[in-house]
Parts: sequence; C-alpha cells; structure tokens
Amino acid sequence: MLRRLSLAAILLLGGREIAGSRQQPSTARTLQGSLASPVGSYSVDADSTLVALIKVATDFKLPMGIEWIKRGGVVVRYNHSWQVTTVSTIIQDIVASLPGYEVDSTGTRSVLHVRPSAFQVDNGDIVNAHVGLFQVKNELVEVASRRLQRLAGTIVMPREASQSPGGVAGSVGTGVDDQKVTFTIEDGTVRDILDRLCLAAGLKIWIVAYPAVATRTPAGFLRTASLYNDLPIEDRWQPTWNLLPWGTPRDLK
Amino acid sequence: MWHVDGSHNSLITAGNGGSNATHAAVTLFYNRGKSSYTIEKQLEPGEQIWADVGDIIRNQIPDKNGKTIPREVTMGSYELRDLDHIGVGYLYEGKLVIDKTWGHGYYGCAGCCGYEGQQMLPNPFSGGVGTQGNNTAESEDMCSNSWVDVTAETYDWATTNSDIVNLANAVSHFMSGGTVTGSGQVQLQRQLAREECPVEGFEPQNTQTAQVPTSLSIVSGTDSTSPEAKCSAGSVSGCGVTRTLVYQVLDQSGVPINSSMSFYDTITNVSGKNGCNLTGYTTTCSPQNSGPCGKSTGATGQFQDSLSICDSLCYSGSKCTTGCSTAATQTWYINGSQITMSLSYQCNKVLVNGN
Repeated sequence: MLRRLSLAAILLLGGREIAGSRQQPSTARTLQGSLASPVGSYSVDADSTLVALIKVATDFKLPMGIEWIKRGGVVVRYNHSWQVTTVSTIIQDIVASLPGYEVDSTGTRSVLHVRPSAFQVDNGDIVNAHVGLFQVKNELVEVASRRLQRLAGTIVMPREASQSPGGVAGSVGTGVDDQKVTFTIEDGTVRDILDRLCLAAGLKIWIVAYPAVATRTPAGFLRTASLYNDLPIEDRWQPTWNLLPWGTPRDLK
Repeated sequence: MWHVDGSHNSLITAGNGGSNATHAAVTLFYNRGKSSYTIEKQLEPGEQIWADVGDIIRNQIPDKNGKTIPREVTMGSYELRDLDHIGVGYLYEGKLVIDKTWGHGYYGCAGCCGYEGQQMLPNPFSGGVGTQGNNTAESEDMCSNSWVDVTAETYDWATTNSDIVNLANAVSHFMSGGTVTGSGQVQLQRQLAREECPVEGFEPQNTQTAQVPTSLSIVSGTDSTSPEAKCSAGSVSGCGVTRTLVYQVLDQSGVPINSSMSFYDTITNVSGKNGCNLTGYTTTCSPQNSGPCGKSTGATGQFQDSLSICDSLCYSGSKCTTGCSTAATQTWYINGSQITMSLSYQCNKVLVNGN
C-alpha cells in the first residue's frame, strides 16, 4: 500500500562515502526542488507502469532507483493526465497504481526509490545487503556496476575463494553516456552504491527486476530477473540489474 | 525601375491570375539594392495589389516591418513574388511611370525570374538499415541567386531500387545494404527571360546508401590500457589489466554509420587455447552472452568498450607476471548484423584482431 510520504523529506543517509569522493552536496536539494516543482499539464501513455516511471524520471530529470516485480507477461498499460499539479504528486499517483509498492524511505537523499514495500524489511533483498568497502578508480560506471554484481554474487551464492588457478575476463560495451568515475564507499549497501553510480555519470536510472513468482537462492536471497527476456537466470549469474540513461527504454520485456 | 521625384511618380501593381487565393509581395529596392521595402497582401483570384511609390515615400507609409523609405530616395528597382507558389506563380504585373514635366507616362514590365539548376540534399545521403531520413529538393532562384526549397512542389519521389532505399514523399527508408540514386520531379519556371520563363520539368537527384554494420574501427585517441596490477573479481583474485576504447561502427564501404544502433556481444573460448583458464566472460548484457539489453550507440554510431582480465595465473611469488594467454571469439550484434572479432586475453594486455 502506498504511503503518502512527503517526498521532499524522503530518504535517509546510506553508506559512508570517503572524503574526497563525495557526491555534489547540491544533488539532494536539486531532487527535492524537482519534486516540488509545479506542473501545469502533463500526461503519460506508456506500455507499462515501469515505462511510465522511466518517462517521468526522464522528463523531470530525476535520478531514480526502481525495484520491479515483473508481471509475468501480462501487459498493463499506464495512461493518465494531470492538470496543475507537482512532480511529487505525479510520482505518487503512478506508484499508487501499483498495489504493494511505495516510494522508498531508505538509502541516499539524492535518488528517488520506488519498490515493493515488503522488500523494505526483507533481508533477502540483495539491494539491502551490505558489501563492505567498494572502491571505484577511474572506471566506467557500467563496468563498476558489473564488478558490483560479481561482489554481490558472492553474497547471494556464497562460495569459497577459487582454489583452482584461473580467472575471468570480459568485454563490456556501454553507451557514450557512460563516463569513468572514481569514488569509495565504506560499509554501504548495494543500493547506496547503485545510487552513487547513477549519480556519477549519464546512467541515471537503476532497475532491479524480480520474477513474477518469487524464488530464493539457497542463501535465502530473492532471485533477480532480466528486464529484457523471461529466461530464468542461473544462480551463478545472480544478481543482475540494469543502469539506464534518461530516455525511451529499448527492448524491455 | 521605379522613379519618384518632383516631376515623376511610379505605380506598380500585381494581380492574381490564378484560380485560388495567394499571397503576393511587392518589394521595392533602393540604396543600390542594399535597402528594401515590402508590402504583402493576400489576393483573391482577379484581385490586385497596388504600390503608389510616390505616396509611400511622401507620406512615410510603413511597410510590413514598420520600415519607411527615406524622402530623399528617388529611384530603385522592384520585385514581385508569389509567396504561396514557389515553382510556378499566379501573379501578373504592371508598372506605370508618370513624367509630369512633359505630361506623359511610360509603361514597363519586370523581366521574369526563373529557376536554374536543381539539387537534392543531403548528397550523398546515408543511413543505417532500418532508419529513415528526410530529403530536401532545391532549385536556384535566379532573381536572388539563392537556393530555394522546392520540396513541397516535388512529386514522383523514387529511387533506382526501392528494395534498398524506399523513397516516398521526400522520406528515405533505408531497407537493405546498397547504393541507389534518389530523385523527384518538380515543375518550375526556367530562367529564360526572352521566352517569359516557360514552365519546365526539373529532376533533382542524389546518391543514397543504406548502410549495414560491417566492421568496427577504434576511434583515434580513445584506446588505453591500464598497467597490470592486482585485482579481484568476485571469488577470483590475481592480476590483470583493463583496456578501454571507443568503437565507431562502419558500413560495407568502411564509412561511419551516423545513427543510433542497438548493440550487445557474446564471447566464446577458442578450443584448446585457454591458457589463462578463464572460467567466464562478462559481456555487455547480463547474464553473460545474452542480449539485447537496451544498449545503443550514440547518434554518431559510437560506443565504449572495456576489455578486462583478472587471473590468478598472472600472479606468482607476490608479483604480477605475464604467464598466460587465452584466445576467444567475440561477436558483436549491431542492429541485427554480426561482426566477429578475435580477442587475445593476456596478463598485461588484451588484443583485438591482433592489435
């Protein structure tokens, strides 16, 4: 059930960001200012409520983090118009159309969070998990995000340090919106780090998707799902998420 | 020419000889053509617009822009323009200059201004398969010596092969790889003043190429590799490097494709050449070797790539070493086209197609 929070006052401080790498202090004020902005006339006609949220984030330049339970192939369009309102009301109305969702009240002050309210107290939500020290040194945001996935993977599927010699490699393509960034977060949650990543460059929206029918890993974590297909993701590739630039999303399933 | 002073006056008129209403403009030029005064009016069929130049100057009547002709101006040229019908106008004109000194007047007509030359822009015009873009037809107005947009008057848009580029109503739809000639037809008054600018057909053309993603080039100045250093990736720790670069997508002729395209990649081991014992690859979409996942190049067809390795076989005796090499095949899927590259992962470098 939606809580009609005062969006100007949402979101607590997250993990501690090491001096010299903190985000711009004006960001939180910018978000609050954006939410309070008056809107004369606005309408959304989107393929889904998720796409509606992305459109609002894009149109009003809001960094946004979304935890999304997929609809299992059911298409539910979102269509609504507003007259003489605020950005905050628009978001609250959209979230109100999602039974069981809320505007989240944890995390950093600078990113607007939308998620199922039940996840707030679920220790099995990987986004709530603490990952200790996370350092990013002159890395593309997308690459740092993938490294965070690997780190979170050791929490979702605990495994001993590899005994056999070998390694991992890769090639991660990313759009021209992405940039190299440097920061360190100590004792942050996955959410804190995703927030920091989406504030750092041009990828302004993070989305963690979950299957329509929830299942858990042996360690008790909710399994995540792909935004782009309905194939189950093996535990060794859990968790997964996506960082998107503001704009019209492609390929969403 | 028009002439106005103590003993002369000039009357210039234009009438609508067409069957539909049109907007007419009479422009008086003076100060050696550097200054102008314009009257505009919508004319119903048969209706006329009049310019009494003496009255305009004497009474300082403002034009459509609020401008007046200084009283000391005595002569200049003029132009009549049909604003609604660029190619073939509806207007006819008349001019009378009155000489009060000798009590007579003389008539005159402006020479016609026609068009000469045609072009279709952009030329050449390229677009990625699956995209579309607008063409513009132009012809040179010999009155003003400027190119005029005649797209709205152009018809019978076509290309030499509509399976490659389908051109309809000035919009090119790039269908499949190849190069064609695009064209349109337009009726314009040709610049032949002695023949009163007869209406003739023009055929502006351009060269159009539907581009297929065929290869990738590394954008100069974007390619760098970090020094080999200790690293960790999930449960793996060792040493390795990261190479970052920007790719430009090229077409079948090696020409950059300047449009936004979706992309993702897959990587597979080359059998028997996994000296680094790599157990998995991080690819553009998660989980590995899946796609598409919403990634797209910028509008100029460029995207960034980060190639990395982190391997315990690169770490020995508390030092980073250069002890292993793994060969892999990478396939990029760009707007539905596949581009295959060879990768060589080594402790201190990652090679793409041997470079």
